[in-house]
Amino acid sequence: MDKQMDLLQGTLDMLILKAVSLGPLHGYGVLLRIQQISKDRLEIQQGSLYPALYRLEHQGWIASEWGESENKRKAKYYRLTAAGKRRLQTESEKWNRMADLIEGILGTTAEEV
Amino acid sequence: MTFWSRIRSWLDAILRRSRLESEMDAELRFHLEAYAEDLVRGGVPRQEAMRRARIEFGGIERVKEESRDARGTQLLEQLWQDVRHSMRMLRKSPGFTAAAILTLALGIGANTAVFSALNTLLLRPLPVKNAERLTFIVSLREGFDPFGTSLLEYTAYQERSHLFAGWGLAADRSFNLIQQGEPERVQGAAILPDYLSTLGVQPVLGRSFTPEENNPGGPAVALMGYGLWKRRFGSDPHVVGRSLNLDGRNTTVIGILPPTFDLPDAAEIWIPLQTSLDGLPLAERAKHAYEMVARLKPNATLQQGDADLKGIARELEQEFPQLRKGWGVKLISLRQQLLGDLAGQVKTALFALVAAVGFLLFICCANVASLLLARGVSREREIALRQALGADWSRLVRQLLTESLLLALLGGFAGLLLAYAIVPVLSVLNPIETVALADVLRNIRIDGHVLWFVVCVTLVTAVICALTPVVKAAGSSDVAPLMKEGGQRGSTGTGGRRWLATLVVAEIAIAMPLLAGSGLMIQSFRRLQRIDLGFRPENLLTMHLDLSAIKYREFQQRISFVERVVERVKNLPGVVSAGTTTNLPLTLSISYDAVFTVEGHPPVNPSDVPITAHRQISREYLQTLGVTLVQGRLLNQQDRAKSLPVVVISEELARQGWPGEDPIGKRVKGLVAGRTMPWLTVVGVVKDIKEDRFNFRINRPAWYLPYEQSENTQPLDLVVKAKGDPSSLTAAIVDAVRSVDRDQPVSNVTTMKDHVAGVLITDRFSAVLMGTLAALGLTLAIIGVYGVMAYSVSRQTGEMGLRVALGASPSDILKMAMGRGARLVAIGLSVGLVGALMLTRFLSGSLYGMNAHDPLTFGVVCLILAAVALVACYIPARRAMLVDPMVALRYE
Repeated sequence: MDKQMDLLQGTLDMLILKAVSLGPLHGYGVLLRIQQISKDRLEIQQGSLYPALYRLEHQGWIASEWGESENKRKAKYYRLTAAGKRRLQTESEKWNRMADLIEGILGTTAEEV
Repeated sequence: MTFWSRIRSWLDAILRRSRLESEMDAELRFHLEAYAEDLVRGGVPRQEAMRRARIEFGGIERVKEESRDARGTQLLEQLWQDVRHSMRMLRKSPGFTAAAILTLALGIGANTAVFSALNTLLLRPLPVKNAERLTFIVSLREGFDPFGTSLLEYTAYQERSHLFAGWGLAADRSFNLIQQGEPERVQGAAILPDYLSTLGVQPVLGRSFTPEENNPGGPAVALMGYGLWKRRFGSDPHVVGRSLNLDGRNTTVIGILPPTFDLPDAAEIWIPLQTSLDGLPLAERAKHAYEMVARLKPNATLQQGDADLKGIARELEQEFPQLRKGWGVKLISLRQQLLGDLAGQVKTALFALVAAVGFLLFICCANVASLLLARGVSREREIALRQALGADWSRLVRQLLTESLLLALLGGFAGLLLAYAIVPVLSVLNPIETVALADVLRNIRIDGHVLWFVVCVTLVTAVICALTPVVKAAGSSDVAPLMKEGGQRGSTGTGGRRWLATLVVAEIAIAMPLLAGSGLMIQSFRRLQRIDLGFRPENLLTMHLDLSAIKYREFQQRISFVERVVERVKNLPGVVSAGTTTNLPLTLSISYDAVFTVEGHPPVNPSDVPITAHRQISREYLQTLGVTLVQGRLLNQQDRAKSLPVVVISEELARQGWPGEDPIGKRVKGLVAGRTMPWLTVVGVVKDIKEDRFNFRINRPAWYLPYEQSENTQPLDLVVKAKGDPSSLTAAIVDAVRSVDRDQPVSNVTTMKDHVAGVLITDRFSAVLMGTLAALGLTLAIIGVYGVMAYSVSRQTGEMGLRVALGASPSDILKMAMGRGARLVAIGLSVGLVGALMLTRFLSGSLYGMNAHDPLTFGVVCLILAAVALVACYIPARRAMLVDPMVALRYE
């Protein structure tokens, strides 16, 4: 799987938003959840998660709060904000349109041109 | 929402940096440990687990760096970088840095000092409520001659004008306060109770006057000033309710007024006026002996109020023609009156100063800009290179702005220090002739407002200074030619040359109005100083004697007091002569005038009301003052209480009363409504004496009557001529007065020279300051011009060398270099001349005996500026002429 940052840039943000939309998570939890939903087919550079989290928080799409983890440790939990919800929606739509388009293009055969 | 969260995270980034850092640490540590635990659960040994967690996480420091950026702290980091970079640059060229900071300090310091004067005089709050709505009413005779207000006007304005929310009336009084021995003359006022409520002043202790206390024959009560209470009574609260000996009358103190409040005219004791406004005879009600204040309603403007009162004054003129003919009115703000600025000259002078320091600052900025430019050119390649390598344009501008901001901040700080040194000098120069609120209005100092001003000026300065290099950098976005230039010294591109030219033109154009304005004000001041006073102020000592109305009930008692005092003082060792008058020349307090009529010459125009300064003098007063007798005689021993009533008149009165005739032996008399005044025979004519402070610039008639020939209760001024320094005689003279009456207070002891110097205080202040500023401005502008010219010539050394090598003679080179400079100087002069002609018009009101476009002043200023600027061009041009072509070319 390609791990190039430029390629992942927009996508990682979207994946994070999706992950926290299913319930508040700490940073490590976000990583685990993405791996879990992607059935481990997607590998993410662990460190790259945090700049993305901070960027999303700075933009107001997710909010953070200190809480207690499953093993009784202090951890920072992220949740989706209302603005983040809207953002996730428009991003998914955009992604779907783009995917259809690309698929259509790639699926074109010589006769169809 | 998004916007706010961004702002919040930004603020977090700035304000809670360290907390965010530790939170980030904790978060990342949690991640690593959680991952390591998962690995341990998966069978990896604990030590190995932590190591692998770290490796898979990636570079922690890089993650942190990127996280910080993501949080938006980037801008701050860059700013800090810029600041550090700028500081390195400034440290690297200490000469440049020092020159720039000094120049800016001068400009900002001068602006700060002048602003602190402006702040004190025009902006600082006064100890009254909403001072900006308070107005003062000036009665004007013949449209220009200021007087106090009359009761007649007070009732008319109050009844007929609806633009005012409150009115107040006060009359100056002074009291002999005898308290445990030493008698003291205390300035005070008789007021209507609404005077204080209109000003919005309440006693800090006790109570104010009740309306009943103001009824005629009401109780003897008084309010006391805070200063007097502190000084004479040690702030004893039991003074309220106690009885004071005021002019021999037992008066009960009912309250203490707040600190610094001393309206009108430095009053320290206030008593109720206790006058029935309607019951008085008409002539009394028409006397201009009061100070009237009024509070404008919230929606009314000063102009509206002024127009309204002028209309009512015209009605009064028709209703009481014999009393009010020729009388008008003018409404000014209370602040303006407190500055003693009935004609609005203080304001003009201050704004001239503000304009002057503003111009000075511009010149300073231009100088710093040219310094930055000259230095910036050597960085041109650096900037162009950085642009070519993809540096953000806004980032470059920010970098240049940071640099000039840093310079401006340092300059501003140094300027503030400079202002701390200048401000006490301004305070000593004392720009205004204020009587009341001296503590507030004379106390020029640097306060919070001034500090804000410094900050604003500094920022503006930074932007102006940065403008040049920024515009320059914008112009040089084309990298190729710069990169191609091999050596360090290429000739400046056209863009750069245009900027240099603009700077030269601007410096000269700005210096021109500054020089012209100050030239005019200095000239005007010198003319004012040379005005013939009509007397000789050298070696004269003056003091004020206010006789108690109770002790000196009979006029005969006053006459004998005057005679005995003059006799004793005259015989003191070191005294030449002595005399008394009812008003010193050029006095600030109320000065007495009389309406006069000339026998056989009624005024040609029936609406004319000839008025003369009215002085009642002891026999040797005019000799003591040192007047010049033109015709006839001065007063002498023949002039007694019962002898023929005589008068000595001034030339101006002679000119108005008997144009082209000999006035000696002719008769003249005063006009007082409801009284028959005796005819006075003119026995002498003296050269005009400047009696009237408010009309100092023109000659007004004056007459001098023997003291004993007309009964009066006016206070006296004693004038003593000494053989040497008059102030050394003070103690002896006061003793002589006290030997006649041991309870007699003596006040306002001063030499005539100091007294006269006070008259021109505003003009001197402006002249000295404007002169200093102009000299500074000229010096700086010339340094600037020289700097720019020298710089541009040095940039052309190669070109010159080439021309010489190709056969140009040294004089050709000189002509070339000079020609360019001279053209710029000429453009600067013409632009500046137009500006100066437009700006000096605003000064015309405060110039004495000269036109605001005085051709001589303008000519001299132009010549000086042109000559100095050309010298500044010549020196570098000459250097260019002497250049050795081989050296110049090899240098390239």
